[in-house]
Amino acid sequence: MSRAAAFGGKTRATTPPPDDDVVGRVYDARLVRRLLAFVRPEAALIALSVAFMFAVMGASLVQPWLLMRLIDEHIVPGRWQGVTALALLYLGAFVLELLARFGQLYTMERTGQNVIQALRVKVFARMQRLDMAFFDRNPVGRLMTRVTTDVESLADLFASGAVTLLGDVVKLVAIVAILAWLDARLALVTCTIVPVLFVLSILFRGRIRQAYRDVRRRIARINAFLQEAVSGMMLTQLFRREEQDRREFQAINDDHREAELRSVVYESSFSAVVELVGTLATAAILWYGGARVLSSALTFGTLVAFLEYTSRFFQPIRELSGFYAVLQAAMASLERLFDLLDTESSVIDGPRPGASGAVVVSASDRTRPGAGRIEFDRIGFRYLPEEPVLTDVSFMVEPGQTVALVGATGAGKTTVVKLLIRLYDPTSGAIRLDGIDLRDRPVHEVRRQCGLVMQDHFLIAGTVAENIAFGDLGLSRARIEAAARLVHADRFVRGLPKGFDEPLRERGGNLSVGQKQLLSLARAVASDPPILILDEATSNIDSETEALIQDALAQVMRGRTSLVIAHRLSTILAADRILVFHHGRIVEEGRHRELLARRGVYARLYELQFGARTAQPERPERFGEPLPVPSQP
Amino acid sequence: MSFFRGALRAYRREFLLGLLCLVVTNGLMLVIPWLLKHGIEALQARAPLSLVGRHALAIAVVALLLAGIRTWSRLHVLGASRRIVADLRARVFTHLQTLPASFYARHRTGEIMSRAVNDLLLIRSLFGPGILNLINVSILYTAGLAMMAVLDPVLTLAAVLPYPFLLVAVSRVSRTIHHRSNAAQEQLAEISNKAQENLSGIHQVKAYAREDLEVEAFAGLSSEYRQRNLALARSRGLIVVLMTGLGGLSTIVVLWLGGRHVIAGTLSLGGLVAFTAYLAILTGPTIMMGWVLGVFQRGLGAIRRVEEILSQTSDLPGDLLAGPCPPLSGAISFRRLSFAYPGEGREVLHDIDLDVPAGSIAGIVGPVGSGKSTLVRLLGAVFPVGRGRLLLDGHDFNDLPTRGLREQVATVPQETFLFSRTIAENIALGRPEATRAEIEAAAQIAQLTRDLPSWPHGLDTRVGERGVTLSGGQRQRVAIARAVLMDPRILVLDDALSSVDADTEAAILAGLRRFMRGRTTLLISHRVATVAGADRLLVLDEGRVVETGSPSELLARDGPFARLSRAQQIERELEAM
Repeated sequence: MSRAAAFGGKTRATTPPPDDDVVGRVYDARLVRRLLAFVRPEAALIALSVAFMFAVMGASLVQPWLLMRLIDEHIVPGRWQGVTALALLYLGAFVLELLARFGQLYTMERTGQNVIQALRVKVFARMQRLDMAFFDRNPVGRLMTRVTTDVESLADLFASGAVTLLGDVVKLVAIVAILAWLDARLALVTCTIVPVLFVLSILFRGRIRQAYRDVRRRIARINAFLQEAVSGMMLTQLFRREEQDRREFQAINDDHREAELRSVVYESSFSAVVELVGTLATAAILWYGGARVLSSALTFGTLVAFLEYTSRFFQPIRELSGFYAVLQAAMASLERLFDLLDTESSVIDGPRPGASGAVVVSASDRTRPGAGRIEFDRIGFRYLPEEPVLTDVSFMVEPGQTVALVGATGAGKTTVVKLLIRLYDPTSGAIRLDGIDLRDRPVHEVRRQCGLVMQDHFLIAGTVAENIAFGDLGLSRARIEAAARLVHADRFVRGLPKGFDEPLRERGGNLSVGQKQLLSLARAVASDPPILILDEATSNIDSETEALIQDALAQVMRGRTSLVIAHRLSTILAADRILVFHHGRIVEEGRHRELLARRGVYARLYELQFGARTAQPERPERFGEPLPVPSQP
Repeated sequence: MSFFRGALRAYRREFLLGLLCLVVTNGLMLVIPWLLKHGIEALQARAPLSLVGRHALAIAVVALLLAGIRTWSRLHVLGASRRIVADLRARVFTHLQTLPASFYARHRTGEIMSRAVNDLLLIRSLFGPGILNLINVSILYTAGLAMMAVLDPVLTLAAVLPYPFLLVAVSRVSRTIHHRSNAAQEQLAEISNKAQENLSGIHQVKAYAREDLEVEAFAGLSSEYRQRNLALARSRGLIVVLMTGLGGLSTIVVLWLGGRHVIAGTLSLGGLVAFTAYLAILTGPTIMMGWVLGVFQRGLGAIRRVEEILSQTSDLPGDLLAGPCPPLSGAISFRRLSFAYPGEGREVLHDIDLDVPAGSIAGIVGPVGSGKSTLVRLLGAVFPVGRGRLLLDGHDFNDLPTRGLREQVATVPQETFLFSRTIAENIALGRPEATRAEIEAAAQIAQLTRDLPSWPHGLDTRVGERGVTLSGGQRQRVAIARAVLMDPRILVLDDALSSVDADTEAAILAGLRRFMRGRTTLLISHRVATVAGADRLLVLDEGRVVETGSPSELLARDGPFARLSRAQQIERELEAM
């Protein structure tokens, strides 16, 4: 097992419930109310969008009316005068419709994007505040879908969304009103198709949704099967199971095809049937309207206008019924997003209100680093209820002291560090920094007092200088370069084409392991923290860099309280005190010679490590890591 | 694009029928405005209502016919697309089963899934709505323009006059949309990457108190995404304007010029109404055309990628050999064998020379990365043997057919992979026909019997269902039972007992010893105790055999094995403290 993974990798394996294709409510007032809080800042934009919508509607609905006048007043009587004026009016209405349509589309998209952007950043920011236990529970992939897929599905809600919905309804009403105004009786005949279309749409949508759900369920099964088959393909081949798998795959593939063919029936007939209803309406208007024209109750142009208006019925009705699915998906996403926003961190930013002995750190104190006295007072910790990781751990590190933590893998050394920087809170006992309980201090303050060098070097996409400053924007260039000089990193940095301004690739891909380590060291000391926490690397580094790092470490620890998860013999020998961890407890404590003389755990660890040293002289000295053959984890 | 043509040929009946129907439906669709024209002309001429009514009735009948035939034709074409894709999916799956480990080393699971899922969807769109609409658009265009020309050629010319200009503009904007859409997708990927980087390194972010900066960086990316989406929305809006403008501009031209023609008497009023109806029919297909082109482009790209997978072949010589594999006794010989993983230059095994006699147990130890797993993996016929030779019973490994060989060699790999089936099914992986008694006997040897009470349905418990998870040790024992049930001549255990506790391990080894009598066993382990009972030990380091001999010989020699043994002795003492 790579030790690099050990720091963050103690993820407790629990099987999380899968994010199912939720068949949830279509409308949830509570969720919508909360969404509205995000929409409210965009009120002006929405108002503009609504205005555009009415402009579109007015401009588009006036066109058939102009057509009617054209026919009745000019074409039928054969009067040319005024036709150009009408055509220009028509053109004007048309251009207005186009511009307003563009405006509506754009303002709506803008509203959606603004809301989504705000929500996305808010969700991401919330995640940053959650405790490590939350990340142990939730796989990265799932959390990623929150800020990508889930947020994106809301985009549909806005794009094809609320304002369009409103527009559709208003448009339908307006068309009916205009028809009634033109000719009430013909309007009555025409409007009979509205309920028919609605009922048909709803009926079909219901069936189609059911059919699609069947298809989705089956394709999910195919994908799961495929995923597993591809992941386990070598095994399938080794055990010659291909034929059996093929038969099973064929069966679910056929099953899926049948479901698809069923859905095709609805897909094929829906639009055809809607169109049929429309054409039947045309026929009805021609027949009934024709009768009224013949009896001179209706003008010719009105009849044509009627035909035009009915053709504008379909789009809003179709969109209205489609909106349902969008709404359903959006509600499911909203539910998940708000769930996340409601999740509270169990690591609460201090100071605790009203806690006894709570010291309120004043603003001026906050900027001044403390002396760096660390005190672990009867600490117990467990990730899972039945598995204690630390039991009754007590120790004190005086300002300026160097303490080495040694022990076998899994003895609890890394957990001590995690508790000290408050990635977790202890299950029992208290950790005090300069006499104040960590829980009564702002989390950030604690972390800023600690310079941290861990094994998995976390490099960000940015320049070398940015990676050294790492969040401390107030750090001057001189301080950054001084820090690099202190840890001997300046030599290789200056060798880079752009020196401190050299951009680092993702995860520092263009640096060697040793260089990354030097950068981490530089980062740890750049802000001049009173406490240094160091997890000595176990990876192999060339001897020259190794010597550089050794010297850098000595420089860096001078005058600071240092807590070192030690692997190098030199570090252990130089430590003021050694704490020996075994099965989550401190079993021995003292300096190298005393501990050796005790012939206990430490002596065994030493023997295990350096007794076997002669076997592999080319490997660097490592404490607590059995060699040459790794034992079971 | 042989697949494209092949699929069309295989379903030619459906596609031809669909084509025929589309011609008919489009014809009928164009008849409706014609009927409308006559109806209105009849009205204008003050003809009796019955004549008008007859036209109305005709429209209704045509509409009914239209709906019926259209549904029927879509059923055929869309149905064919579903069948084509189902066939293709089965074919891809069957083909994937023949591909060797080197293929799976080159392509990640996600990538293969993307071919098999997303690309198939694209292909489905190509054969379904893609082809359907392509035909539709072509027919409507030809027929619609013809009808309009019959009504009034000059007016037709005037109506289509804006088309070329607008089409040029539309194709320009389409290109912009394409670029901007890509740019937005790239930015979404950036957001994804940032989230991935941040969430996987969240403990570091917290440890260095970087949360605010991370949020700021994320907000920056998110804001850029918003900008790109808005740019995309502007282009999209523009295209809607252009498309609608196309229809509208034509309508105005038609009204203005057509009105003149009606007044001049060269066109009837009904003709003008019919003309605008045709024009309306043409707008849809014009908008559709851009979409159809996109579907074809993406669909053909997907076909290329899927065909790329279908063209891959196995690199194992044994995969090409048919016929049975001779029964093996289990004697294994490596002759100056060197090996590098396909596609990697670095050799991980150098000049391996060793013999494992039939019926013996060989223990293999060595540090991580010393080549132990690679050595035994070769026996599973997963990668082609590199330089040198591997002999089984004196047969060159490359001359033995893979499938027959795998019948006689069972491997328990380091990483246990369990399928989400019942435990019994997982054990019977290689022999689905195995009887219950055989499965239970294998489970007995693997010491799984002691776990049965902890599973809700014993051996019939489904792995992964309702939180049923198996511990590392249990998983490894299922894998051992799986190999035992194969009744192999050669059994390879690649560190397959690492998560099993010492007592259980001893019981399993005792059971295996009885079971493996007369068969060859290769046993990789990090634990000295595990390999202590082997007939012979091989110590590997950096791809070479550095020590061989019986366990007692090696212990006496004070070499790497003896040192390892001492270190583990100390560890045991430590553990007990």
